[in-house]
Amino acid sequence: MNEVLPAGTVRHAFRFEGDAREYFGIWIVNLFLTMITLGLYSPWAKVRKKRYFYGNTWVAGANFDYHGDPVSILKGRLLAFAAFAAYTVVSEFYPRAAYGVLLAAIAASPWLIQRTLRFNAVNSSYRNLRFHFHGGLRDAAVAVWPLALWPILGLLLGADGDVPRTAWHWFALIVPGLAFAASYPRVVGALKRYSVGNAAFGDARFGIDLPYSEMYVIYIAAGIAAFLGLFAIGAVVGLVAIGSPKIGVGLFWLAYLGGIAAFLAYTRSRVANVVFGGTRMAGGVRFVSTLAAGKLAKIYFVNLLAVACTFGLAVPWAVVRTAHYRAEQLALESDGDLDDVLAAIARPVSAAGDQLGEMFDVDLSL
Amino acid sequence: MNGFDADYFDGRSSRCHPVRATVEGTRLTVAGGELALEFGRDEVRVLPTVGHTPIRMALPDGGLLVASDAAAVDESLGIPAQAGLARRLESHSRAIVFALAGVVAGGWAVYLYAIPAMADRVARSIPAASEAALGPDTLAAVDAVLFTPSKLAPEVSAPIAEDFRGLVASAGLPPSTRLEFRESKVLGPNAVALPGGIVIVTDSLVGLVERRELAAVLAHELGHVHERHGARALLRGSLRALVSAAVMGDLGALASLAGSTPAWLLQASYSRDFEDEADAFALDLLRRAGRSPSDFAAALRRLGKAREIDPDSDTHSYWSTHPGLAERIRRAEEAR
Repeated sequence: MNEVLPAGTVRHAFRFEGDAREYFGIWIVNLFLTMITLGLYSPWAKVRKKRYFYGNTWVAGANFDYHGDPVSILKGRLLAFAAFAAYTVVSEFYPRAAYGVLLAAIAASPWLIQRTLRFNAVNSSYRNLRFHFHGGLRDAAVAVWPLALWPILGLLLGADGDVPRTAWHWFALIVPGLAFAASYPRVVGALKRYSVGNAAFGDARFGIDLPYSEMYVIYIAAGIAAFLGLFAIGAVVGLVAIGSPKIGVGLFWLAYLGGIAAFLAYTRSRVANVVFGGTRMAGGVRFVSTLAAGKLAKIYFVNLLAVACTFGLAVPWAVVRTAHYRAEQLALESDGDLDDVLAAIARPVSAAGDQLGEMFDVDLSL
Repeated sequence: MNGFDADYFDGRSSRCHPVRATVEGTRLTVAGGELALEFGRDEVRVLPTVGHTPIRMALPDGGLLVASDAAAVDESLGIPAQAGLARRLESHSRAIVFALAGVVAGGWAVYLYAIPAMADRVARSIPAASEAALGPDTLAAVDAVLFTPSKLAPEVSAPIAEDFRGLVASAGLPPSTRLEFRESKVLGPNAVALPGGIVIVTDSLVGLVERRELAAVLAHELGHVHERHGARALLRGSLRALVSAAVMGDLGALASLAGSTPAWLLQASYSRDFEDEADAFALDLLRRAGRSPSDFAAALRRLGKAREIDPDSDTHSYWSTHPGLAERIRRAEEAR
């Protein structure tokens, strides 16, 4: 990096030292054991994977570690699996009930979000000090409540799973959708504020300065680009398909993957840069994230092609190269020696959080 | 004297102490800067590692020693790291190859056999009434994108509807099974069975084939209804999506989407066993209804010609929903 830092500013880049070949062995053994145990091994697999990724992530001369208890994760997974299976069956066979299921999921989400964030924080460590999460249920609910507008409006307007035929049908379908789209950037921003602003490393609290307007700028730009992109792709693929349907189908598939890669790369890189850019840690430690949307889109696109063409066997290679790029674009910055700042951070007097993992705790991130 | 370089973290602050760990007899001393600690060698717990991450040793004071030179740690401490089954498998290339073979074979079996079998069991346990409730929604959905209203005169459609009712009765299907007439630019001469027992026939098909041939095509569609192919295909799709999501969860929603694309392309090909089942059902039904299975062969021949596929050749398009036309015609002719 050629950027000139202000005098006295020290920058420590993150580094990911994982290796695709080594991770392939871990991944395939995980998959094999998960398969022969009909999925029951999956929490143990997840812990091994997380320990590999945490252990290979380095900053300022030390790496991270993960301490999650597979049994807690198993409980969470069984819950998630039951919920997902119920939702799938209900939405396939009773499309009218889908809004109700969605509403129930949103009602339960503050609790799930809070538990998951706390579980992950308490089970992550760096330099033999655990992270903590102090967020309450109320704040989680405040962050996600606008999402409920979508199903509530849907139910009030009497929208059903039908294909719209009348103007009223369209209205009942579009208004809840618009409410969702309008509140989504705010919810993403609020969740980032909640998860980062309530996190702590030892006794050092994190703070975040994240204006919602930044989120709206990102998602509106992404939405407009996606809309125009769909038209362009539709026009090109349509013209080709008139000439040769087979090439048309192939091209459509490539354009579909490219579109997903570009959309996700753009939103994720911009959101990560803004969120890390606004994050502070006690002691004046700042984060700098310099993910480039174009570079990330290229990585995602190649990943998707490789994964699709190998029926999934390229997943380890794909995740490792993505982790390399994400880590090398992230850095810590401090005024003065980072080691001095870090050395001042201690374990909080009441380390009650350490025992929280023992209680009924869930980790829902599938 | 055995020893190794390490970083010591006391667990009370995040300060990093570069130290030298030395083992003498049963004692481990950790020294560096103003730090000088001593522990019993047996009190040190070497934590399990994943891959080539550094060796971590938990000390009885709550501290942590992190060392990158695994050989030096091993030689001086002589305490093996806790290694589970997964660790042992991961470190042998033969075990990895075995796991890979197992996953590929298992994935193949799950995708082709376990999921269809499971989906079929679930489909059969779904009450017919629930499936029938799907009908109107699905009809509205396909009407919006595929079909325009039929322009057939009642004197043309009425006899066809009568044939249909006769076949439904012979097949022992519920009277709620119904026939709809539509026209479709996209599908051309075609007949479709929707979940919930709605059969759609296009005007162009009515114009293409003779009345008794059309009845044979309807018998084939009733085969889809009888075998509940609509619900079974839906469930197979959902279960496949679930399994891909579990396998590719590593890569997040992104990979699940990519994983679902080939599945979507394969959708047309895995309906092939459904077509065979429906054919067998149709030939049997035609005989039971006092009709001739050769009507079905004749209908297929005409459809094949209309699609500009030579009915006597075995080549078929990958995306065609009715592959192996020659084989199907042969079976229909032999059924006599």
